[in-house]
Amino acid sequence: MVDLGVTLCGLQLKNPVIPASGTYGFGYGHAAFYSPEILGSIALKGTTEQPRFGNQTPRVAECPAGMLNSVGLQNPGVDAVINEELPRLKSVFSGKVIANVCGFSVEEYVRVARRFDEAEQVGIIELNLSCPNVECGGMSMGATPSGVARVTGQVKKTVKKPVIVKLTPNTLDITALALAAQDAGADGVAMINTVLGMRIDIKKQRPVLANARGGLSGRAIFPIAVRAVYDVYEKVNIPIVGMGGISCTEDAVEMMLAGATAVQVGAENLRDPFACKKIIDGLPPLLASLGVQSITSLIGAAHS
Amino acid sequence: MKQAYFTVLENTPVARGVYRLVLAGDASDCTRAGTFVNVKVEGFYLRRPLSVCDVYSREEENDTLVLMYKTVGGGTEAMSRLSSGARLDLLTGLGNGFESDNALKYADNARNRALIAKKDAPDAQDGALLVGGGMGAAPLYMLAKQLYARGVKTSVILGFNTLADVILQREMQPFCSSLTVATADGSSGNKGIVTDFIPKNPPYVYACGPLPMLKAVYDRCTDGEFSFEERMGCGFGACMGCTCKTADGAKQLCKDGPVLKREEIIW
Repeated sequence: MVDLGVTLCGLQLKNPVIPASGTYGFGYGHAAFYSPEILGSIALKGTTEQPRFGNQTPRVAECPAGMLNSVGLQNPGVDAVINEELPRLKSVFSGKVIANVCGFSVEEYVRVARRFDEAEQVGIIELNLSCPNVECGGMSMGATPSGVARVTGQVKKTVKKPVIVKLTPNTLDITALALAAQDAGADGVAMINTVLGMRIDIKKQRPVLANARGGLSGRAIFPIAVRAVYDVYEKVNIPIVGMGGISCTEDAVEMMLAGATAVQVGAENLRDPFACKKIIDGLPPLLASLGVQSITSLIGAAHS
Repeated sequence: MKQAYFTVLENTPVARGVYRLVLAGDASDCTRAGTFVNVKVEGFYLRRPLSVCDVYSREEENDTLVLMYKTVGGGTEAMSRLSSGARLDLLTGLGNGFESDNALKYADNARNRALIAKKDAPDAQDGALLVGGGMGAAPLYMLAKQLYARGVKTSVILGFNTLADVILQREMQPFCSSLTVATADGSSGNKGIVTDFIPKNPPYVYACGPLPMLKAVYDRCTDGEFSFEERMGCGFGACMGCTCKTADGAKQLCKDGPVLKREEIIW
């Protein structure tokens, strides 16, 4: 029997597979396909203080081996998430979830994080300092080490629950962002968010997305994510939640070998609603074939 | 909502760039007109959302599912090369679909209003008016069949650019009391656009077609349902890629739509 359990920032997960924020709504939608109870945890849709409609459509564009999105943090606001979405999720998922917190100012991040800190179902607060699809907030605050340090430090001063910081690859040196998060007290980092990109419609001679630029996710970015996690693992001693283009069990294992304690699966959930289930189901036989007894032995094992 | 594998029975061109794809598989979730399926195409990242044109059960366990699609890019061109026997991965039973009950309710209300006002309600004799533009005819075919089965008197107006684009005219005929085909260049049916042929006080309207057509139809009626198109990521409400503003707040066109009631629509 292979042990799939991992501990992430003090939270016991039955396996390291977590659907990524923005690809799984508030967790109950996918219940039509399989029971979310099989998941390690669930990263909720990014939440701001007020409801947000997000950007104009088209918000998605297809790419070779991936997709662009410029959803722009559509969400019903933190009150509705706590009062309506979390109770609905509770009926299909009894574990602790990861609340993805977004804001347009340091103060907003702090206020939203504080609300989730009081929510019983929330086990970890994930600071989204990496959304590429909003003018201010998101990546604009998280692309520099000083921005990461400022938001992380203020949130850590306010909340009791573990805080992980979701980092952007659209920066000079992602290891500097990770170190800034660690130095500001972060309990972990989650990486990578989407890679900034664009498609142009050659018939209309205009960008496909209404917002022109969007975040690239999917298989195309997997090697970028593995490299980023590998490099950050060498620099920090807090756990890393690895993500970016994971689409099969082998990818999840590879990401853990690079240094991830847990993995998030994003775009693959959208093209195959059973993606997380298939990845989890594939772990015992794959680990057995690799001669691995406990999945934790994979974490960072690619480093010499 | 279901994920199921289907086998291609037929994939034949029926108009300029338009194919009729007949599939065998479990279509038990495809009972409602106006819902759609999301088709995985080998070599392409996102699935292709296609509205259900027809579904019927066969004697064996497999259902027959009919889809219509137009080749507009690499994905649909790859689909056009599928030969019979090929296997396709589909998500079925997506979207809300049309509510055929509403046509009956509307006709009842119109008759009651006319009775109270002690005057004839000639246009309320028709239970429903179906207005389709281009590929929008596809889901309306299934709706026409279902309304016919429920005894609703249905008029249909289909609009196309030219004769080469006309689809489903012959197939639709048996299920409606009147069928008007309009082409922009007059090469088939009547010359004009669909709104030229909408009666003054139309009954309950079901419309599917390009956005400018939907808006024009909206302006010519007082009640009905409109099926919208949008680029989609997942097709089942997870990615929030196809959100639109409605009078009832933000809705996901893939899950809360693609059909919106007239009173919900904000242009």
